[in-house]
Amino acid sequence: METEVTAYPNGHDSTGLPEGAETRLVPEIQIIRASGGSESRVVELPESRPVTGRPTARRITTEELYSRFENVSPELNSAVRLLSLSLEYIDQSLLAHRDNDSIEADDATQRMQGLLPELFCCRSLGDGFGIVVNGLMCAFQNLAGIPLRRDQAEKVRQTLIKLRSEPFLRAEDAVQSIDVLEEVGLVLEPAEFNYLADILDE
Amino acid sequence: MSKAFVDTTILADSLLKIGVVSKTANDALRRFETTELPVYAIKEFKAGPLKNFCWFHNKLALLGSFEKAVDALHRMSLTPKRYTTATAIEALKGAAGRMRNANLDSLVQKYGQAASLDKVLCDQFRLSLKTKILKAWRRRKQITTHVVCPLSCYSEVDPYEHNRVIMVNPTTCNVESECCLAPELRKRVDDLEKIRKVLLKEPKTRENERRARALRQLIRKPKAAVSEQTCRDLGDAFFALFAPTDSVILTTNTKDHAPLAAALGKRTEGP
Repeated sequence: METEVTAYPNGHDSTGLPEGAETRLVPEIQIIRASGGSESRVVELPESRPVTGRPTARRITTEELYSRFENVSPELNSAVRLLSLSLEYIDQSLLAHRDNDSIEADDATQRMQGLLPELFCCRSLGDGFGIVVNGLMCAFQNLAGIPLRRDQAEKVRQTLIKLRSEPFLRAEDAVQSIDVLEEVGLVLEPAEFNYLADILDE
Repeated sequence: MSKAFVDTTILADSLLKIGVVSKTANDALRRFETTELPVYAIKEFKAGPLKNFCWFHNKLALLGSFEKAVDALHRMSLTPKRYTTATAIEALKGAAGRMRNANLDSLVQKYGQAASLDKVLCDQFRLSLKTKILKAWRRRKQITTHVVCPLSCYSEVDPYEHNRVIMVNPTTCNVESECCLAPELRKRVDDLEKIRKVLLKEPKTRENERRARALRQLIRKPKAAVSEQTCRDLGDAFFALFAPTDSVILTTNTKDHAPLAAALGKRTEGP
């Protein structure tokens, strides 16, 4: 039996946008899950838009969409829940930045950081998912306690929105999506990576 | 107008390294108004450092254990440029300490092996390598202002994933009759001789011996078909031969490049 669901962007539905935060709509996605038989798979279709320019399906939130797969993939369920929570925290951080409350801004970011190891445990969703979460985890580890700047927090938010919207993104797309984090000076490799790179560059 | 002819070491530092090393290479590239990257450097880059990155990625993917993969790396006895092997291996093993605060033990019950320290480190490094590999290949032609000296017998096939391992094949040219550089090399027998003369005075490393042998063959048998192996063995000599006269060869390996370039009145510069 096959289930087909169409989803629309809702990256800022649950928490609302903090004033002054960057807004960027994520592309529409279609996800088809074919279940039955011994294995299940997820197929991502190319971005599509109705000719009229107006959606023909009911708008639903990411949580609504993915809650249907709870029994199929506990990792997906955990990932969406944790990503939503992470977005709440990063939004709190951005609001605190706006109020010049640097302690609250950093504390909210730390709450988000605390979720990353568990998010990384959901990496069976795919290497694209793993690449983004790994990048974020390394970024925070490399900061070694230095608080995120506001521009960095905005890019982290942008990345989380993209991931929540497209948890099955391809590795190539994930690599592109974390470019924005590097652009604001975050280092996305493990601290020991330079030793490894030096060994491998014979 | 300042012009740099970029060699493989700068390409690798810019694309695969992080921190100061990558920044130094990128800053060096910005010093020049024009930067030219020969496709030969891309070919060397793919067959050398990029292939090594894929090798370790694949080791992590197949072993599923950071500890076992690092042991395998140690056994390969690759010599790091800036550290001793022991220092680098110790630093890698120290990664476990960094993850101590991640509270992974509490997650093992829920996520099983995926939350074990060894598996987390394994996937962390595997995904970082995969990111580097994909990004490096995507950006290879973006770090210089021009890509020059195309090789008609070399196809730049994208790395691809098959059964969890990243494949970089082909890393060699698809030579039908002979290497596409052959006609140009035949015209420059005098230059080949000048380079070989200098090369014979250099330390007898395995690489220099291969290079001297390739040059000797090209000089002695100019009408013989030039093989892919001969082209590959030219290595640093390619850069001395094909760098435009109004450029400098930008390399981290000035020690090896400088004498060859000087033989043809050309200059090298480090980052």
